[in-house]
Amino acid sequence: MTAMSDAADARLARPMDLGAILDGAFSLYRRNFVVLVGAFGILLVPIALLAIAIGGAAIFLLPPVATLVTPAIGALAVADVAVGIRPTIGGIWSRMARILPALLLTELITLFAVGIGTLLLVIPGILFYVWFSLSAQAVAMENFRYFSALGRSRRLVKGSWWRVFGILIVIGLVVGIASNLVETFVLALLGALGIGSGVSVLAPSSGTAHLASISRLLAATISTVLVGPVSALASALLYFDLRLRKEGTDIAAAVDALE
Amino acid sequence: MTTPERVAVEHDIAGVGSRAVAQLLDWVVISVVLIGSLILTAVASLTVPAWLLITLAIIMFGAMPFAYFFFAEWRFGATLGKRVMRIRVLTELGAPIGARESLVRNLVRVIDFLPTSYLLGGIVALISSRSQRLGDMAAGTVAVRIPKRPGGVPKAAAVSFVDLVAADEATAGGVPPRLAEIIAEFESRRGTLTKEAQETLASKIAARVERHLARPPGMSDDQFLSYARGRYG
Repeated sequence: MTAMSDAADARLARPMDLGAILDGAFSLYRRNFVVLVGAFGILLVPIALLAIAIGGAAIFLLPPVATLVTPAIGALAVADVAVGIRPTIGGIWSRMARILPALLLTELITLFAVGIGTLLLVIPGILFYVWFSLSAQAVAMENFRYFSALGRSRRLVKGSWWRVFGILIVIGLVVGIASNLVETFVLALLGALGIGSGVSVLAPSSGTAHLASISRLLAATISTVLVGPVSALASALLYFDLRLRKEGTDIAAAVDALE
Repeated sequence: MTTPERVAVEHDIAGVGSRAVAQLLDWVVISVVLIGSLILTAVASLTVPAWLLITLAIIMFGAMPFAYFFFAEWRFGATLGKRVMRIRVLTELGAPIGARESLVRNLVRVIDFLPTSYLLGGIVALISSRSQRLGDMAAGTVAVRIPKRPGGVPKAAAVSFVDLVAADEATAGGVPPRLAEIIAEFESRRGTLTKEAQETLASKIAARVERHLARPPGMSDDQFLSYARGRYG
């Protein structure tokens, strides 16, 4: 990760501010649209279809669990770009397949820690959320596992807690607005096609309520597949930025380049 | 960009992300002003005729957002949100925008906003190679990022006069400019680096500097780097 080829993205050669992180995420998204949407879709579309097939609680349970691992897709794409490799769906998923169990378990540990923290009067939950917000990136980019991934995230965030907190809020806000727009648009489209429309909120029959759940799931899945990569890329760039700031890997690479 | 005098000027284009944040900040500013004017209207309603208040409120709510964007971009090249995000609006040639450009890009803003929340403008900017929304294309403008001014470099570590004289006597040649830049970068970012990274990098850079500059006896890596930058950087 330290060595940057000539073809590597120049913006990854220096620490970034909030604007550069967001611009970088959108720029990478635009240039790798098919790969990123494809990499997200390969995971999320089958999971959504499986959830619909199983029905019941699976509709509400399976897709969110699958979404837990998507930040790693952005991290692997950024890791490729940093060394001048053009990301591919195959390249990303061959590595995702290797780290998937560890990644899922690490994210579940993170979720558990944040959940416990939230139960302790919310504030500890926010504290833990920011500390461990980059655990998935630690698994994907540096092969940390489980608690060591959480520790790696915490060490990177240490001293920059408020900055990371602010950046995460802004990323969430921008991506959340875009995601809601897409979701609303898809729901309106499905409604126009007669899927999930005409559901009475006050007294839904079981059939129409089920249809409404399915249309909401489809809209959420399409929205996550289309907009989710931006959030994943921005978080990965934040991880990259924190490494540069803490470890000065770009400075070491600049000295090596003098040889 | 190339100016009319055919001078090439390089700017970083402000992307969709930073512009979205600037836009959010601008709407916070506009909302605060509008809410403030609502409160003033409520207070004034005790003495001013109702028809006048309603007319003023319609003008305020309709014209204020447009006026804010138009005047701020025309007079200063940036709104408050853009200033915070260090974004400036320029013509495609790199010159400051005038009233005409500001008027056009802010009239077309209404179309960019469709169907809601700048969805159309956002998608167009995402596809555009220069992140231009429809208003930018119509007005011939681009939003660019203004680089942060270089931060202050920490004071150099103390070096004795004897050391300086000794080093001067032993020195042959100077530190190459690129290496001096690296030292400056290292010193300006020292505060964010971990202790371990500071030591590793100082040692690595000092070893490189020693190829060009003799290290005065007893000088640590940090002192040597500060000395090298002060002497030749």
